[in-house]
Amino acid sequence: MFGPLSTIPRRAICLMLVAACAVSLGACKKSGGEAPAKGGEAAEFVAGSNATVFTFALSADPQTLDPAKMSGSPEGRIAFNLFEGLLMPGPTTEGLSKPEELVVPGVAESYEISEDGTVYTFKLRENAKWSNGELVVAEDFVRSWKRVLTPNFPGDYAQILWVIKGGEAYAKGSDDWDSVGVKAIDAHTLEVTLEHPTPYFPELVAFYTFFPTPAAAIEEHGDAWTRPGNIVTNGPYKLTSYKEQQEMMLDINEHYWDQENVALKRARVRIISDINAVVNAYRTGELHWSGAGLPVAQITGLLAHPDYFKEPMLGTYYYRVNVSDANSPLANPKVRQALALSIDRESLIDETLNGLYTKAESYVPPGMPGYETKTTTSYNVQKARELLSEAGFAEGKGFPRVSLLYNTDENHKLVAESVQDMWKRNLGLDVELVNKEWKTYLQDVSSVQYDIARAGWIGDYNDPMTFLDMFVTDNGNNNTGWSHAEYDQLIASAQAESDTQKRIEMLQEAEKILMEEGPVIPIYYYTNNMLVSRFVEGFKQHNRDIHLLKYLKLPGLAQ
Amino acid sequence: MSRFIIQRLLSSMVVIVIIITMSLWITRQAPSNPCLKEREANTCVCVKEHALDRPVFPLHVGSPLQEMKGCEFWQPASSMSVGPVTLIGLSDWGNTQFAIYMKTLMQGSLGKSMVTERTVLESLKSGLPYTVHLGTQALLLAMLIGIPAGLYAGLRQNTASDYSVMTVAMLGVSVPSFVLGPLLIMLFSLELGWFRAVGWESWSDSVLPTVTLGLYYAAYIARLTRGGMLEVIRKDYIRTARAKGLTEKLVVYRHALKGALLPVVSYLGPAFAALLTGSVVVEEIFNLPGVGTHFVRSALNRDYNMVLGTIILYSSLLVVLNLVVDILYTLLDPRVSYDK
Repeated sequence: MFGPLSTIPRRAICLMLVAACAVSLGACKKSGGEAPAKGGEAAEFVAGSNATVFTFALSADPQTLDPAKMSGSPEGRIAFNLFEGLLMPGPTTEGLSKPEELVVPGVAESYEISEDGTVYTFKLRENAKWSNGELVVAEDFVRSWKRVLTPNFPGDYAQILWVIKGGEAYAKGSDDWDSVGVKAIDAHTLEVTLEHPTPYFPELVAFYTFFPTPAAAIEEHGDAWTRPGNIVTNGPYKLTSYKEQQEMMLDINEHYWDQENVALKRARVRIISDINAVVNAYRTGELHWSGAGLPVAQITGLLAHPDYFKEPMLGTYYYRVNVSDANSPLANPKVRQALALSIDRESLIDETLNGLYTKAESYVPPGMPGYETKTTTSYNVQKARELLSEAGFAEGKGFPRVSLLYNTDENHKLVAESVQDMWKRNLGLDVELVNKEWKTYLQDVSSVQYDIARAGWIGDYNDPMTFLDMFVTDNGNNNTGWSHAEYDQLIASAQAESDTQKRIEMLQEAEKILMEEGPVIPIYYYTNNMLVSRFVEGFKQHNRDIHLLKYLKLPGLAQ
Repeated sequence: MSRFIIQRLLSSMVVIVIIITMSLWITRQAPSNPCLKEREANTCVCVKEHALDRPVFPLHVGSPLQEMKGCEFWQPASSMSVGPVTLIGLSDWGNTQFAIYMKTLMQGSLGKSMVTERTVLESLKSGLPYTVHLGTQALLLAMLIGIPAGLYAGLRQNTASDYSVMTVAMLGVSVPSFVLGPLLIMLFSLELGWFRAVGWESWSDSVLPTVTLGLYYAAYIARLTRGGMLEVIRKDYIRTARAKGLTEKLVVYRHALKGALLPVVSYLGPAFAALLTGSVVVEEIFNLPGVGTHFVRSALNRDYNMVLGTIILYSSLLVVLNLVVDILYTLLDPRVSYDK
C-alpha cells in the first residue's frame, strides 16, 4: 500500500503533527494555568520598555481636532494638550473641598467675580502665545466664542456657551453681537457677563468648547485648519504629525509661556481602537499609559499589577424608564420605585462586574466638591413588594411584559441579565431583554420608543447641575417623557440663585424628587480602570479623566 | 480578446452603477442617521429647499432635533458633500441624490466623510496600501504553502501522507482568524517577543497578520490543488505522456501541472478579492490602518459617504480581479478562447 517514496515524508509529517499538537497544547495549557496566578508573575512586563518617547494609546481617531466642534473623549484628550483656555483643569480632583480648586490659571493669570456672581473679569497673562509666536489676546477669545455662537455652528457642545448673557439669542439668530456679554476691555482683559450666576463657570472656561481657536488659520484653511502644518495652537504642545488610524506626534510648543516647566517635551499618541490590542501593546512595552478603560475579560489578571490605576469617575450608569405612555404601569412612580429598590447593586457589582465599579444609590455621583447627595435608593425587597402591590400588581400579577433595551456590549448584557433575574426573583416580573446596535439604540432612546433602557451620563463639570438639568421638561437629553413642574421650578430657581448654600439645597431637593418620582434607576457610578507605568510621576486621579501631559514626568526617558 | 475585455469592462460599469444605486438606497433605509449622538448635539440643520452640496436624509420621528418642528429633512451643518432631498426619482431626475452622487463621482470625488473632517478619498488612499500589501502577501503565502501541499497529497492519493496533509489543511480551514490571530499574538508577541503585537511600522509587523489571514486560504488552495491533480492525472493525455516513456517528473511538471492548477487559478481572483475585503477582522486584531476598519466603522456610524466609497472600492476590485482571472484562463488552457 505504501510505496517507498512515501515512507520518509510520512514519518516526517507524523512527527510534525505531533510537534504541532504539543506546541499548541503547551501554549493553551500555559495560558490557562497562568491566568489565576497572574498576580505573582504580573510584573514581568515593563511599560514603555520598547518606546523612546512617552507613548499612550488613544481609543479612536478624533472626529475633529477643532475644540469648538468636538465632543467625546479621544478628541478631548488631544485638545487639552494642544490648546489652553483662560483656566485649565488642575492635576487632580481628589480631596478637593471647594469648586474653585478644580481649576488652575491658564491663559488668564487671575480673575475676579462680581458680587452677584454674573460678571467675570479675566486678566490675561502678557506672555501667552500661539505656536506661531503671536500673542494670545482677549480678542482671540471674543472671536472664538462668537464663532461657536454663530447660528447653526456644527459644534456638539455649542449650547454650553449659552450661559453667556445673550448667547442663546445670538445662536438663535438675533444677529445682535453687541448685546452678548463678551467684551475685550483691552488686549489682556476680558469681561464676561453671564445670564445667571454660574458657580461652575470657571470649570466651563477650562473646557475645550471655551478654548481659543486661531482665527487667521481658520480663515486661511477652512475645515483643514486642524491638519499638521496648518494647525496653530496655544497649549503646551503642537501637533507635528498625524497618520490616520496610526499615530500622532505632539511636540513642545516652544512659544508656550510655561514651557520650561513642562517635563515631557514629546509625546507619541498611538491610535488603537481595540481594547485588547491596547493591553497587548502595553504588555509588549510599547505604551506608558493605556489611555482608556480595560477589557472586563482581562481585568482580573491585571488588578494586581503595579501599573493598575483606578479612579472614580463623575458618571452614572443607570436605567431610563419611559413614562410617556399613561397606560403602561411604568407611568406609575410606585412601580418605578419598586424596580429601583429591588436591585441588589452590591452583589451585581461584586459577582457580575468583578468589583470594578461603585454601587449607585442616587443619580448624582459623589466626589463633587461642595455637594452631597441627600437621597438613597438602597436594596429593600420588602418595601419594593409593598409598593408594587400598592400599584395593583401584588407579586407581579397582571404586570405586562416590559422590555429592557441595551446597546451591544458585553458589560451591558451582564448587567441587564442580572437585573432581569433580580426583578423576576424579587418582584415576579417578566422582563424581556432587547439588544440593539449603537445607532439604532440611540434612535430608540431619543424617540422614546422603549420601556426601560440602559443609559450612562458623564458629567461635563463638577456641579450637580450637569446631571439634573437634563431631566427638565422637554430637555433634549431627557428622553423619557418625564415632566414635573416642581422639579422644573427648582432647577430654574437654582440656576438664578446667587447664594451657594441655598442653591445647593434646591438641587438636593430636586434630586430627591428625581429619585422618588423620576424616570431614573441608578445602577453604578463609573470608575476608570487603566494601566499607567508606575515610573510616571504626577499622574493623579481626575474624576473627569483629564490627565494633562504637562503635569507628567518620566525620569530616565531619553526625551 | 480586446473586444472581450471592452465588453466585460462595460458590463462591469453597469454592475457598479447598480451597486451604487442599491447602496445609496439601503444606507438611507438603515435606522438612525449620522447626526444622532449620545447627547443632543446641533450637528445637523433643517433644510427646506434643495441644498445641492450636502447629503440629506429624512428625519426619523421624534429625534432629539425635534425642536425645529415641521422640518422634514436634515443635513449635517458643516459643509459636506452632495445630495439634495430626493433620493431616487423620475420627475426631477437631475436633482436626485443619485444623479448628484454620480456627478461628483465623475469629477473624481467620493465626497466628504460625515463623521470625520476628511474626504472619503483621503481615508481610502491612506488605508488601501496596507490592505493591498497585506492581501498580496497573504495570497503569496497561501500559494506557496497550498500548491506544493496539494500537489504532494494529490500525487499520493489515499496514502497516509495524503491524509496527514489534508487533515492539517482541514484544520487550517476550520480555525477562524479571530482565534488564530490572538493565539499567534500570545505565542510570538507576548511569550517569545519576536513580533510586535499591534500596529504596522515595518515589514516584520506584517508577518503575524499575513499568517493569520493567509493560512485559511493556504488550506483551501491545498484542497483545490489536490482535487485538480487527481482529476488530471487520470486523463488520457497523461497516459499518453507516460506511454511515450517520459519520466514521472516530466509528466507531472510539463503535462499535469497546468491542468491541475486551473481550479486554483479561477479561485485566485475571488480569493484575492476576499483577502482584500475580508481583512477586516485581522485589521482589527492587529490594529492595522487598512480600509477594512473604515468599512465597518462607517457602517456603524452611518457615515453614508464613507460606506458608499468603500463599497465602490471593494466592488471595483472584485470586478477587475474577476476579469483578470478570466484573461489568465486563456493563457493556461488553450481550449478557452473569447474570440469568436
